[in-house]
Amino acid sequence: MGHHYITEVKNEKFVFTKRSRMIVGGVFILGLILTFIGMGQVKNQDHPADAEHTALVVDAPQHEGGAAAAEEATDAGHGEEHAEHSTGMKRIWANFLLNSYYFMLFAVGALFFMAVNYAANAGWATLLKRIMEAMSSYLPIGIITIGIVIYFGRDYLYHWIEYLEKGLKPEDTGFDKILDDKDWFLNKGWFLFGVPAIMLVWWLFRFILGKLSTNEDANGGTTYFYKSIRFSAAFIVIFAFSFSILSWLVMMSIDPHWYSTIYSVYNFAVAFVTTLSVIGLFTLWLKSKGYMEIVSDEVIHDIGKFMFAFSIFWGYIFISQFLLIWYANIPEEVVYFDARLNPHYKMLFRTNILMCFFAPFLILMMRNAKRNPKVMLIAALIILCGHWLDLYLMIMPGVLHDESGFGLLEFGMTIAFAGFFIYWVLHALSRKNLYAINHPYILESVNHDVGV
Amino acid sequence: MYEAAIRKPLVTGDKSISDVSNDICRPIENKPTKMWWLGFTISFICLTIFVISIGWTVWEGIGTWGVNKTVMWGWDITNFVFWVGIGHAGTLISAILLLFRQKWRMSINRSAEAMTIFAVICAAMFPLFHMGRVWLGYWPLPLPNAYGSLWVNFNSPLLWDVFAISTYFSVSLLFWYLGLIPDIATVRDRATSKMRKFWYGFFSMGWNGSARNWHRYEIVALILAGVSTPLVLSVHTIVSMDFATSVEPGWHTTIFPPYFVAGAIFSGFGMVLTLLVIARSVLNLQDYITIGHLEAMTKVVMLTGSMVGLAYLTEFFIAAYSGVEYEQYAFLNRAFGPYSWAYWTMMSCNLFAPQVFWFKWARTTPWFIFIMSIIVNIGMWFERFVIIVTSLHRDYLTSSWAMYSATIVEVAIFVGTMGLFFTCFFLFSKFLPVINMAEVKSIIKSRE
Amino acid sequence: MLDKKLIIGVYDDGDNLLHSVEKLRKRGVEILDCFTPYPIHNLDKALGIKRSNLTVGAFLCGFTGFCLGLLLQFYTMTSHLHTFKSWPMIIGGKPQNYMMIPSMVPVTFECTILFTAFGIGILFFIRAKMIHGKIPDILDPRQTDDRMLLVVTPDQLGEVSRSEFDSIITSAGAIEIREHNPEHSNDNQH
Repeated sequence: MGHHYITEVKNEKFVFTKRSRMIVGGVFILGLILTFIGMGQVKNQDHPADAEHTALVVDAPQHEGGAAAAEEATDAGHGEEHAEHSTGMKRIWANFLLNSYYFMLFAVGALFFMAVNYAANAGWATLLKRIMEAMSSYLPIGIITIGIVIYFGRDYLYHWIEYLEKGLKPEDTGFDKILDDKDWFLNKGWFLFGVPAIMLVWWLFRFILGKLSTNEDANGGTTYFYKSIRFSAAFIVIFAFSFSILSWLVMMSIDPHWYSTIYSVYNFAVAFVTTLSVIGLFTLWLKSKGYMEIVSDEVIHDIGKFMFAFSIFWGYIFISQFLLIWYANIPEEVVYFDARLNPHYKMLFRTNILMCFFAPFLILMMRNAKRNPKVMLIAALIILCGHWLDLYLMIMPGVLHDESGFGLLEFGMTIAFAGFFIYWVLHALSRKNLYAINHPYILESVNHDVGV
Repeated sequence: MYEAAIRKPLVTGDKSISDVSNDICRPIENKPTKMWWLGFTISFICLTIFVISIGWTVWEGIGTWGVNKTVMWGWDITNFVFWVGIGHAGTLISAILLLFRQKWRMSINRSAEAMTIFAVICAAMFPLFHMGRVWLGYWPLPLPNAYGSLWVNFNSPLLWDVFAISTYFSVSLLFWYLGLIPDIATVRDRATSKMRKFWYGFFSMGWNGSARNWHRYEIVALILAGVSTPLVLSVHTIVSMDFATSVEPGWHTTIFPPYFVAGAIFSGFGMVLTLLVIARSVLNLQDYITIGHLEAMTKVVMLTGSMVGLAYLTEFFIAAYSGVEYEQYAFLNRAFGPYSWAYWTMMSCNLFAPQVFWFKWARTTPWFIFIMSIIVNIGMWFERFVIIVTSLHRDYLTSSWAMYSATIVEVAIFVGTMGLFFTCFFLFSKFLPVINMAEVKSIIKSRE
Repeated sequence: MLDKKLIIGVYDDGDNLLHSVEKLRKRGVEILDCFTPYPIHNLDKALGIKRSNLTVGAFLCGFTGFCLGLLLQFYTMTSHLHTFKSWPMIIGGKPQNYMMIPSMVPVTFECTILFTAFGIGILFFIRAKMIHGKIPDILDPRQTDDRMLLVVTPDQLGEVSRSEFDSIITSAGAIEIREHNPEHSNDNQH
């Protein structure tokens, strides 16, 4: 009493209209066309910078100690290896990895966020649960695309694989003690079977949670809810461990000499904040199309709060990694930032910090900003572009050194992936009701109120 | 706010609003119980030990401690990090759980925040006295030097720590005090003696519960929660940077900041559980601090314990992966070297033991939770010991290798800070409401 | 407030108070204030209290702290402000110009937080007119314990007559109606 609570939710069904299908499909096709044009452009991109590249090696920070000397040796060795694969092909594969990984993060991030909501007994986001489910239904595609990368693109991206294939002995020239020491982890077994296995386990959890959700819709009752909590808790633990391993294998091993213990947390920060932005974007889009009337500003506000908070979290993890490496200035660690603070990447590196931390921080600080769909839209897009750039900076310097660029290839492939992702998610969304109507917390989400 | 029917009530026993005031003001308005006197006396004796041992240290110098040239940080910094870590749960409970809308925080945030403040006081003792000449303790403050333009060194993580700890202490104190004001006003208006009316009146700052003030109050509480959240992360981050900015194998690792924060939350919740399992039965607060509250806290303990465990494994893994011999040696030495007993104590207390909380029985049995919370405290103390001592005692230069063991003075100082902590806590439980009455009143009424 | 004539409705349930406020405001009665032992959800909205601008104050304080923190470090540690001549501090080979910004992050952050928190705290105490030792204007000793008060002045009733007012709030659950008259020291029971 006293308050006017909504006590009933009318379920909605999202219709993925023909027009929308055409548009989203069109975006995908457009992306593909741009990609192919872009591929044509870069295909013949030789390495005119070969001379410069050798110069770069010479310019590389003055390493000291045995470990670093070995590294110099491999760096010099790169010159030869590069000759085998054209820069163009490397660039294509690097882009493919970037987008495969990026969109896979949304899928697994959505699954993780759903699990967190279960485990923490949080009710406010229940209305958006179907969006998270739809996003995580992209997981199989993520497995396939990453699978393509590791089975067909590995030679272009991961030079430790090439190295292992050579099977050099200590007395051979080009022998790299560090890489040789890592073959207990950086080997084909982990890479070719570990990575897909990890993602298949995630998909298994997605399958179980999705099934529970469907059954809950059909039969009601709280048994499915409590079961979901248990599976969610298990998923969170498994995710924490497996995501670390995945990020080391797929991303960190691009720079196989370098290591950083916070790397997996950094990847997690990227995954979580981008996932929330994508959830926010889908919600705003659905609302603009007349769906989800019942999702109040309060829920959007809280999504905005999460985007704000986890942008700060990303900034925190970023500065933790950067500051410690910068401060200690140990050769085997600073190589990573050296490669990213050279003239070629310096501006991108700074833009990245601006887009991923300062812009969302300043935009989303005010209360009214989080309640204004337009501002939220801008903030979400900045975050998404910023973290795309973030991944760009994680991949490109290791693969392409200073020969990366922004061209039709980069934009086209991202557009194609985005089009496909959106199509897939909206299609998945149209197959179930828009709300998990029998979820015990659904009314909490409907009547959510952020308070002051 | 709307609550789903499936949620269990946070306060049991069908309490009315006046019951809340009566129950929570009882210890303040009545004479202390025998249990209170017993606990207070023991704590006070320990506090005396602290005064004596610290006095001895100041009189004789740091030579009374077991630290040496190689292991220049021993129990002192271990205890410092231990106490700062414990100090994190309070702000976590009131700030982060507020932002995450976990309402169960409401019955425990007051005592956890009090604990924060006392723990930070205990923590600050160690670097202060480790400086040797404590009367020059103001030197780390950013004051111009009398002889010229020599300032403090802002490149030093130790100075960052001065800023972090002092900011954290003062902001936590403000946050805690602000939360106390409405409750102090309640005590003031219920007071029968003149003394009580005067003192509680003085500290209530004239609070009258006007709707306008509540409106502002809620906004301020939210902002303070908002700034405290990154603050609490920053404090242990900066503590971790005391180690991680160095080039010491075992210290210099980039995961230290989040890993220290997770560890801090873990140990903080361990200490909150230790205190509250006792307090709820001594002060008869079982209806406010229910089994549900304990269960939620044990889940946090399990979660953060696993995060800390993940960080241990990550560190170990990356050390092996790095290919740097020094790193690899540092970690192997931890696990199998002369201090391996400390390492395995840490691993079993922090990573393995909390996994029992996967079982509902373990999460809902107070005496068992109490034992587990002690184990967590021990484990987290050993974590800091392992990080500090095992990383230091082997140097790059073999001739500097050394061992370290604490002297009786160091042990006495640690026991003494326990005394300081618990003395403060007993005084707090006598003179201030241990549960936030205003917030609890608002949740018992949100359920029709 | 105590120097005015007041009509006080006493409640023992926050929801009833909220109801009365909503009903009275619908009839055009401006309410002087309500006094409650705990924050009643939505009461501020029902009373028509405008959202406080304290957040803006917090931002400004934080910004000041941010700038002062940076200034302090630029002043003491770098050559940009031409401040140090005698003892430039070269420690660990760290740069002495703006390149040391990564080192400045922690202290700048702490200064920002410190200023935000204390700024907002002080602003709050000023806005709420609170200070140590202030004698509280308490209308009912139980208003901070388990009673809620609805307070209006007689001229705020507008076109609602006194008896109508009484019946509105009584039907909404007020357990008692009192008057406060500054000329008499004791409240009159009505």
